[in-house]
Amino acid sequence: MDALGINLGQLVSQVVNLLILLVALRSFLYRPVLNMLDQRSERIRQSLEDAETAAQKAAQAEADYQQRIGEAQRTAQAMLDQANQEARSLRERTLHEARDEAQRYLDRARREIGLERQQALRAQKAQLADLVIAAASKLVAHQLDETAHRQLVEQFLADPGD
Amino acid sequence: MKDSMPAQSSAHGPVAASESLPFGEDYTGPSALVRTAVALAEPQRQLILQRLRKRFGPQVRARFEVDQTLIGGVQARVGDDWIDDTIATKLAALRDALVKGGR
Repeated sequence: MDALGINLGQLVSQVVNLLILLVALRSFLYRPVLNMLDQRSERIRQSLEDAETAAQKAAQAEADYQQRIGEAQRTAQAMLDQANQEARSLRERTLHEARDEAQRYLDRARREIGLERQQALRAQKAQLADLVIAAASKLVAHQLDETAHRQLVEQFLADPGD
Repeated sequence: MKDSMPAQSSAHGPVAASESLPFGEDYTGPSALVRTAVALAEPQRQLILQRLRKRFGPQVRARFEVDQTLIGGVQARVGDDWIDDTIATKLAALRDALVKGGR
């Protein structure tokens, strides 16, 4: 050993120092670092799990949202269809009532026109008859002489009448 | 023109005479109003009165009036009964027929 230039005592001392250093490093450096790394890994894993959970919740929320949107759209479409149907029914009913009302007005107007026409015709006939009778009255009165009046009285007397 | 005439006599009995009150104030029997377009001669009045008495009874007395609107003929009313043989009435009937007849 001496020939090799190795001092046994110094070697043992260095080995012991090295062991002591290793033990000290293990106790005061490696273990805390490893613990810190483990904790960091755990936090990362937990974060990843949280992120995945959050993503799943977000996906579920998205699905729920889409479902509600779909239901709302279907409900809105149903209400729109019903409103359109009611609007069509109302329009047809209103048109029908308007046609009936117009027909009633038309019929009444025709009746009134007919009545007015008949009244006008009657009035014209009455006026014409008045004129004819007035003319006939004057003519007959002018034509009746004493003899004719006497004949009329005789005709009255000759009429049995009783 | 109005002409009141007291009937003088007839086959059914005497006829009362009065210018202002043809039957007298106390007369309550049947009376006739005879209207003509012209004034009648007395013989015609008597004949008419005879006819009225024959139909409505011998107590009938008559008052005669002239109404030129009758045009001609004789119209007599006794109570609610009418005898109408005047030209005016016939023309009125003709007018009604003209108005109502045809369309």
